[in-house]
Amino acid sequence: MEEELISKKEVLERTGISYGQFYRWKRKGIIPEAWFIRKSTFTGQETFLPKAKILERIAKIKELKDRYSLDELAELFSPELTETGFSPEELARMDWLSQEVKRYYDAVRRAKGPYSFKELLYLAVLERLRQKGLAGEELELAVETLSAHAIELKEGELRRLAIARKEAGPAKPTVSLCLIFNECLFDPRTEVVAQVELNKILEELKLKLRGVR
Amino acid sequence: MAEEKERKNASISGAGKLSGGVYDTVKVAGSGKIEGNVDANQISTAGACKIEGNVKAKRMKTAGACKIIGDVQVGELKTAGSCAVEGRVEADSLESAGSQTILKGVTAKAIEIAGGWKVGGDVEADRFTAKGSINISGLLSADEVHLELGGRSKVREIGGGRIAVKRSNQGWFTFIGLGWGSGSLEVETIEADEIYLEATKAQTVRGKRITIGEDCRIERVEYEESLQVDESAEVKERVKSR
Repeated sequence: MEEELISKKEVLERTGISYGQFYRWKRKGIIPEAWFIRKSTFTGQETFLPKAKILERIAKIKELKDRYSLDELAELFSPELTETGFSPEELARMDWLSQEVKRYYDAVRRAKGPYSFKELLYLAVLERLRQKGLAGEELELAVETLSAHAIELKEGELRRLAIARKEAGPAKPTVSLCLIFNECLFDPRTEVVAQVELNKILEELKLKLRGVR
Repeated sequence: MAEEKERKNASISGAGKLSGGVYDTVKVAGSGKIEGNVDANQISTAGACKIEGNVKAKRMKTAGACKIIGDVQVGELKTAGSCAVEGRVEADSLESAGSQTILKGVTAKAIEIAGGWKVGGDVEADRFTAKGSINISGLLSADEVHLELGGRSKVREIGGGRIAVKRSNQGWFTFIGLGWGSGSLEVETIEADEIYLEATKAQTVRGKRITIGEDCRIERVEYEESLQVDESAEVKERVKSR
């Protein structure tokens, strides 16, 4: 699937930001280096960016820039999991996290003591899946998948997690799968029940934590 | 950190070697070699110095010839004479008088250059001021770019808030024979909100308010608010956007 591109010039025209802002945001890393694609055109070299990603990012920056410094924004958009551990009491105070999800998670959790930031990300992912109507076995499947793999989020690269169902047989009408991928096309008889973008959940989680911590 | 108490001073005078490590101050006078990574509050060298490793320091000053085979991470970096860094430089402020070469890019808050400056990769700064001849193989990006051209300069791309490129108004650089005439700049693309150019040859210049001054040769100018072109300048294509 080819990503639709937009020229840097058009980004500025569409969003109304100045060159100064654009380059400053690039220097701060809140517009990831990985998004810049240099191409030859009839007017010489031009820079293009992935259209959906850059327009969404700039809208976000414009929305947040009065409340946060550029360094804070850089931290916010960074895929790095920087925060330290969270005690169970701190976790209990997070009102966005349901008891149900926590129970599912704790049932498979091997580590003891404070929760790492990565674990908190997993919990946020599970919470989102629950909100999308998943429960029981499929939620457990997501917990197992997340904790079984060391998931690395990279700058400028969108990672998704999906729960899919496929028809099986008369005894058990469907089987469920949990997948983590950047891009994936499914066979027509597989139904994607829920899909979430991990990078976005991370961004939202960091925003939520700024309210809490 | 725990090692903070153990920082010691080290110095070389005459000719000598020092092994890398954690120091308070490192002083080299004469000819010195530091073998390995150095982490110091202060490093100062005069004469010839070679550092075979990465450098981390609050302040670093070099005079004479200095060569660093590694990356440099400093608060304040001042070099006079010739300085070559084979890695990348990260600094709060960077000042160079004489000639400086950095092979893998620079990130700093403020950069002030006098003389010759050559960088492989991108240069990122809040403020960038240079007098002399610069050569950057990547993107020069800063809120403010002030270039006073003495000798031939070449930059792949310049982008930022305000960019001013002027010929040196002192005859000094021509006098000592750095390049020809009173300087020129060759660049592929310049993009900024405000642009003032002299003696510049460019493919594309894009911005809000643009002044193309003396002796420029520009293939294509795209402007939003205003464009002024000096009569000695040549602009092939002018496009008003928005």
